[in-house]
Amino acid sequence: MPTTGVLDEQQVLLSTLPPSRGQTRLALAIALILLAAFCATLPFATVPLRYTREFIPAYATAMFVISLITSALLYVQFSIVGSRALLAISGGYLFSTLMTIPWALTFPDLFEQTDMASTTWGLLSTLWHLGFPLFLIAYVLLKDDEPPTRWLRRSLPFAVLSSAAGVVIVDALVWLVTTTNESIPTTFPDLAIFERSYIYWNGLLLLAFLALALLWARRRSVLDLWLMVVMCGLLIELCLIFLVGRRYVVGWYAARVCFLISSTLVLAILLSETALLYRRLARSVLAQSREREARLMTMDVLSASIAHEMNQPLASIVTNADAAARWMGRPAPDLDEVKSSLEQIRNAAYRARDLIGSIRAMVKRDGRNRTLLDLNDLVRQVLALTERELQRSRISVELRLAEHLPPVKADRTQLHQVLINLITNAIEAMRENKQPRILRIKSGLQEPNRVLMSVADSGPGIDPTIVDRIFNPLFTTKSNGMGMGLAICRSIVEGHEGRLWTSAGAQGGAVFEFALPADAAA
Amino acid sequence: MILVAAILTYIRSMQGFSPIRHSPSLRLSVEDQQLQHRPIISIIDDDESMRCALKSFVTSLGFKAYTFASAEQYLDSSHLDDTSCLITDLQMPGLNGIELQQSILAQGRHIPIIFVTAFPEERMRARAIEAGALGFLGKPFDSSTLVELIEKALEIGRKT
Repeated sequence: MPTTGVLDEQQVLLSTLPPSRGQTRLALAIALILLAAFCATLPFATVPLRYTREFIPAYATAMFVISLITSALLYVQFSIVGSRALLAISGGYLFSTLMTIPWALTFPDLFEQTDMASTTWGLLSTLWHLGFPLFLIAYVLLKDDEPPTRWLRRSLPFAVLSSAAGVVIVDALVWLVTTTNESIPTTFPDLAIFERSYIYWNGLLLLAFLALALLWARRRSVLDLWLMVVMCGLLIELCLIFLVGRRYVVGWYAARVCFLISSTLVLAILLSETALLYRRLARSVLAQSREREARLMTMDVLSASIAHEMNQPLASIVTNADAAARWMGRPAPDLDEVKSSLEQIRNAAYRARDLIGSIRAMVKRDGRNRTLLDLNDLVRQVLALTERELQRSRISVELRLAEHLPPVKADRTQLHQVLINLITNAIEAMRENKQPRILRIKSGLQEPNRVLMSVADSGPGIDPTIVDRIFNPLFTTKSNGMGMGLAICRSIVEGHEGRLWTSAGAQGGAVFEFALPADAAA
Repeated sequence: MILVAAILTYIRSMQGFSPIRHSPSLRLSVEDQQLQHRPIISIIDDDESMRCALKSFVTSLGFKAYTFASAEQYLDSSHLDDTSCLITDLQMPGLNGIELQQSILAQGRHIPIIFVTAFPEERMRARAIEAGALGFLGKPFDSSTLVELIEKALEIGRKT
């Protein structure tokens, strides 16, 4: 049972889009460059450098901006899918963003503060480097465990709410750390010792490494890939700081720069990926609207031309009748003019009759163009034509074609038209569907000696009160177009000594079926 | 008696022609005498049947009617100067009604134009009226509306 591909959220979201080979290579290259930079720094890591007072504020500002933009980007993704994992990672970035401010402000040598402030700074540093990997781990653990339905129906207000909550939480943390630091020195007696504590560093490194390992094990999307690069940056930063064990040496500066670079790169890449996805989406939306427009146009143009053609003789009839009445109403009626007007009226009426005849002939034709046709082949051709539309509408196709179907003698273009019409109607019917969109097409043999074709949708079905009228040429449930499609389909099928009818589907939706006589010679 | 009335009508028509108000008993003789003075209505329609119908109708009102199968034919004719009112189709091969209107305006002429179309589109109506068209009728139209519009056109002609 062949099924056409379904375009879903997977292809338009960073959190679900699988990375291409090129992206994976680029990420690997960046990680390796970071590692190389790390190795290159090692020999000079402890070379002391001048204390640059502007370094920490500048670094913090850059991190603040980068984390904020990344967070916003991820919140947008979250508001689209309402996934808990995305909420966790956007929360992580928001946390990181908010931590940079107090972290920079309490930096010991910035305002010539006391050891008390140093402890605060150390604690904030710890919280930051502890918090971010924890959020990341939460992301990894949640991402494969998404509920099948949307977790949150309206995620945008929730995104705003959760970011507000993030601000409150970070504020509360900072408040706690700054107000209770009198009692802290007992636990962390000296910042110097604190910064060199193996257990402390091993804990932080282990956590970051755990996050990276988990990401690696469950890597699936573009987002996962680049988060791994961020974690590499963070790990290198932690390692360098741990190894050099003091401030204002090459390693210390390099650590910060390394993390900053990896974060910036990742943000730039996520932004460009988003722009790319946006371009893809915009193109597909444009193509879709163009296609729909074209289809509506043909109906529109058809109805316009019929209206124009019909109004012409009608106008002639009305004007001639008025003229005749005036010629008659004269004191000396001009009977020649009256006669001429009446003749014109008759001619115009004939013209209208011919016009109606030609519209009918468009649909009902003689058997000159009829050839032996395999309906299964025709269905496949029509499906190939409508494949893009089906994919865009996220409709999967269930095809059950009977083998050894006898051919029918029919006009290929006309039957093509019937199938296109039925399939397009089915697509239209499922456009607003919440439940799975499935187009079921079935062919088979119906007794005695008739080929049956059935097109079923999983849409809302046909309202029983209008089911009698849907084959009426002027009936339409569409705001645009003429609604002549089904009438034309029925008249084509009946022109082939067949029958077309509709019924309610066993699993809901509407079923349109037509039966055509199998070719006797075959 | 008839002659006196005819002369009276003639004088009236010099002041302002109004075919609808003509006393029916006088119409024929007046027309016979004033063949040269009847206002000229030009009709453009690519549909022959419609052209003839309009010509017959306009003639029955007492006007002189000239018909043209295309806008180009009309523009090439000698009737741009003496047309009191132009009735034209909108959709025609070659120049359409709106283009004809533009071309007439570009020549600095102000001929009252009544559009008749089998496919009245709001966009086209707006464009035509904006450019100064007198009326925009969808086919088939009510002939009394056409009569009113022609009268309006002649009134404009008298004022200028």
